[in-house]
Amino acid sequence: MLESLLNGLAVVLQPMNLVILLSAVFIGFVGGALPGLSGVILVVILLPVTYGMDSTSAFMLLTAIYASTVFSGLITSILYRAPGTPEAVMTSFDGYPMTQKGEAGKALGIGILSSAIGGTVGTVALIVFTPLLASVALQFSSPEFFALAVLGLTVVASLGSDLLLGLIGAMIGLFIATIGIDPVTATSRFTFGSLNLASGINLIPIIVGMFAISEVLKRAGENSSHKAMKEFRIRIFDGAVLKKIRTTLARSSLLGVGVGILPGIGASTAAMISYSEAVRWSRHPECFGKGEANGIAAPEAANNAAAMGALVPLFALGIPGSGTTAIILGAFVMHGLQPGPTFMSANGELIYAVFVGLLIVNLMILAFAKPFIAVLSRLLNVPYAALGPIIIICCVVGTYSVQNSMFDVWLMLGFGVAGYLLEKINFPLVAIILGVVLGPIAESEFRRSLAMSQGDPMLFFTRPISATLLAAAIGIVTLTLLAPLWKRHRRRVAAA
Amino acid sequence: MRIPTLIFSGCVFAVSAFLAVLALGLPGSDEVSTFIGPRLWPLTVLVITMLLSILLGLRTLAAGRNAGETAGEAEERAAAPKDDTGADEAESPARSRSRHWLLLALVIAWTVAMEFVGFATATVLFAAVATWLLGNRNVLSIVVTTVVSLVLVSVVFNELLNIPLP
Amino acid sequence: MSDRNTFLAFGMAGVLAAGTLAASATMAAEDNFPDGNITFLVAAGAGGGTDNFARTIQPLLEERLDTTVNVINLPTASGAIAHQRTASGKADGRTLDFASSTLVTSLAAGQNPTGLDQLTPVARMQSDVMALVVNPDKYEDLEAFMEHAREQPGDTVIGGTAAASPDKMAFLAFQDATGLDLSFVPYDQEGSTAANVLSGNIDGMFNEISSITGYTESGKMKPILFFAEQPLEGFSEVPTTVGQGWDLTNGNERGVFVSAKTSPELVNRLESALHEIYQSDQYQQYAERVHLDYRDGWMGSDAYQQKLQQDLKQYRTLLKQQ
Repeated sequence: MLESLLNGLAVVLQPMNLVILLSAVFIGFVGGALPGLSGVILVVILLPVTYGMDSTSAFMLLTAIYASTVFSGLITSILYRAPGTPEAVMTSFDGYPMTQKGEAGKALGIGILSSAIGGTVGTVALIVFTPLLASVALQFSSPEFFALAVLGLTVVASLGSDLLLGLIGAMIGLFIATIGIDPVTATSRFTFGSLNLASGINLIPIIVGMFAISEVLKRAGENSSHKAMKEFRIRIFDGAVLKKIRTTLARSSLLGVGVGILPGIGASTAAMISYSEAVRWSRHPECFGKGEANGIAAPEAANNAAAMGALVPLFALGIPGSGTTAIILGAFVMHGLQPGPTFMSANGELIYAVFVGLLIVNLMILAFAKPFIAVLSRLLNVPYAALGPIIIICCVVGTYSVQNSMFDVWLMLGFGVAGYLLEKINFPLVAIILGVVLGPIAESEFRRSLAMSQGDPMLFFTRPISATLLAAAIGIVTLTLLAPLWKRHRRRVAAA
Repeated sequence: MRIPTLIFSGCVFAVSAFLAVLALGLPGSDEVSTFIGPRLWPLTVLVITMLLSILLGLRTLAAGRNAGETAGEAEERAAAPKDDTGADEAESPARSRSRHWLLLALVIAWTVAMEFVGFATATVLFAAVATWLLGNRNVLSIVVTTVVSLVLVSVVFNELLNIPLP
Repeated sequence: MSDRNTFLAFGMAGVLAAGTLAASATMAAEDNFPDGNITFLVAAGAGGGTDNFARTIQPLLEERLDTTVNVINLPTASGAIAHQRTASGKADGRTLDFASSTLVTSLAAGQNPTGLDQLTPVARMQSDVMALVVNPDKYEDLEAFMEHAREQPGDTVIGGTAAASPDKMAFLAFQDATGLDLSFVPYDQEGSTAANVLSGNIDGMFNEISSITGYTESGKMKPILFFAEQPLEGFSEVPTTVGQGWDLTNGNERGVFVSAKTSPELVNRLESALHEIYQSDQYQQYAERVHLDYRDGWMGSDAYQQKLQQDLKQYRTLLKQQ
């Protein structure tokens, strides 16, 4: 393998390929930073351009863009609470409060470092364990996905804010996810006869509206618009911070790889699960949501690791792990390559070049993120009065471009107002996103599982992985419910 | 805090009850060829939502009644950030308090206008007016915002990425 | 916009020069169609099979009609928005709808308000062969599969992509023809279906041959039945539906549509342009690359119209019997 890697390195170090990687990282940075413009769209747009290239360069370009967009979503997420990509929603949860405290530089530094580490761990896992991980991923079928989604939903309990509101939020999210044509029986649900609702409500308008638009509205209502943001300096390597987040980094990176390799789950879910685990394992769970360093490290390490993990089933089995990898799969086919179980052995040279390319991309992220954000932060000196409209314009155009749909733009504005109003009662918006992301997985996989077992619900408990995951979920819920009782009991004992 | 939360729980209850009635009309498990029909899941979700919203309403009422002793953790937490904004608003002129609604109206007007006068014209107007509304009276900076937004949008989205604009 | 198009056009021009110059010269003499830009509405998301199809045609048609083509993806509601917009748009032949068989299946399932009377097919250009694919560790061949299905009614689970799709129709038609009692599980993505077959969690899947060659070549999956008239090249040992006495040959088809109000002259014009493209080396190379060359994809406007009507009738009946 070492030899293959060295060969790959030689390919990557050709000047032309380095230029391609560099420009890919740059395109990814810009695209990821713009709200509404996600990696999927960038890869699609550049697809035709790659037809003129040789396959190795083409796939280095596509995978590098893919990797760098997952990273750069955090920039606007931290600075303006306008997540550049769906994967970066969780990052805004602690990143933006930090910015409000005037620690934007610190928050960005943590984000960059965590991304690079998560991405590197993911890439190394991809290089070393692909065949092994792929066979693990195949163990996951509908019952396991259902159990995973349930476990993910228990995150609500550890979000740190009001549990009742969190539950309502998750339920609203779960409901939103049922709108559209039911994927199992093709029955229209809650579409009110509108074609625009037939394929359900896309995640992008919800996220962009609830987070970015509502924040612009809020800031417009406040009188802080004359104040420009303070100058900040990004510190990527900060000993004290690093010491604080190293456990989280390790856990989240591994968790990210684990979730990422599962087909159809994706990096957004990985970020959510990792965040909740960070809260759960933390000794100070009450600090989350208010600018906790681990709250940035966890989702960023996980989503970058998961993005790389999603390439595992693609390379090993020809099965895409996420939306963007599905398009990369299509690109393989258009290049006359045949993804499938024999793909790796047949195209070793290309794959190892792509692997090495990805490692280098992670280094590039580490190296170029700072100057890129420095240029971007010039924009920060622009008063919010000017920046607000620009953010809105980006949101509208970005949302429109996802499906070329004006309806989505209206939806986004609606969610913006809803988000603004809900914030007034301190509503945990992220619970809604959680429901929307995990809802379809939970429902469809539950029903698919029963179809697999001819209606026998014991299936969930006889399959070891799903049984373990469900047991963990039940355990967590019980603990959350019992914890206040236990505390009260201890207090009473102490008082007596 | 109390009133908005009550309004919220009322709205959630009303909407979920309405949707639950709709959900009853969906085919149930015995009417389709799969084991679980398209009705079960949304109906369950909506019923739980209804229950939770009642719970929220009751809790808010209870917390309001004995506000003195058990002020409810959630309320405390909610009150904290509100104080900050309250202070801000007190200083500012009355106009800025409703400014976000004006901005929203402007965004809506822009989105509608886009379909009639074309994207570029509408955007230029929007950027200029929005910047002015947000409190910037400096002509130069209004011009800069307008130009930057137009260039950003048309170069990045249209030329570079070939995304058709609305 | 223009950047990429010039880039593509430039590349194309080099390759195509000789072949197309003559063609476009004679064409331009006929009339001044298209007299403006052409828009492709793709009834599917970016990056999928239908999108690749449209984007392959894009530069080739630009070259032939000497115009600019904009591609807009409208994946909402299985492409129903694309059909609706095509049908209600101007009938000047400058808005083309690129659709797959999902047009008919979603129509049959009542999810697509744009009927076949509102759209005129210009041509069918791809006809992908449907296959029943199994994990070879589970079933040796069609015989073994059928035997298992007969012995344990309802216990054989077949996967496919989406609930009102060509995959589902193939399943219903297969069940109807064989009289077997099988279960169908629709997945959201083709990848999930394949993963479940590979891991043995389900018994088999219906899928188009073009997307399974990677698995079959590695021996991890095995096609045991093709929905075709005669055995396919390279798969001579795999039985076909017609060989078994079942009249099922539908797979997934992709074609181009315009508004039904478009004049027959314009439809002819577009049809002949597309036919030229279909016969060009560029297009054939693409078809070979993506394994769409197992059977002839071309079908002219009138023939395709009739076929669509038949398919719609058949799918409606199948869904009703379900």
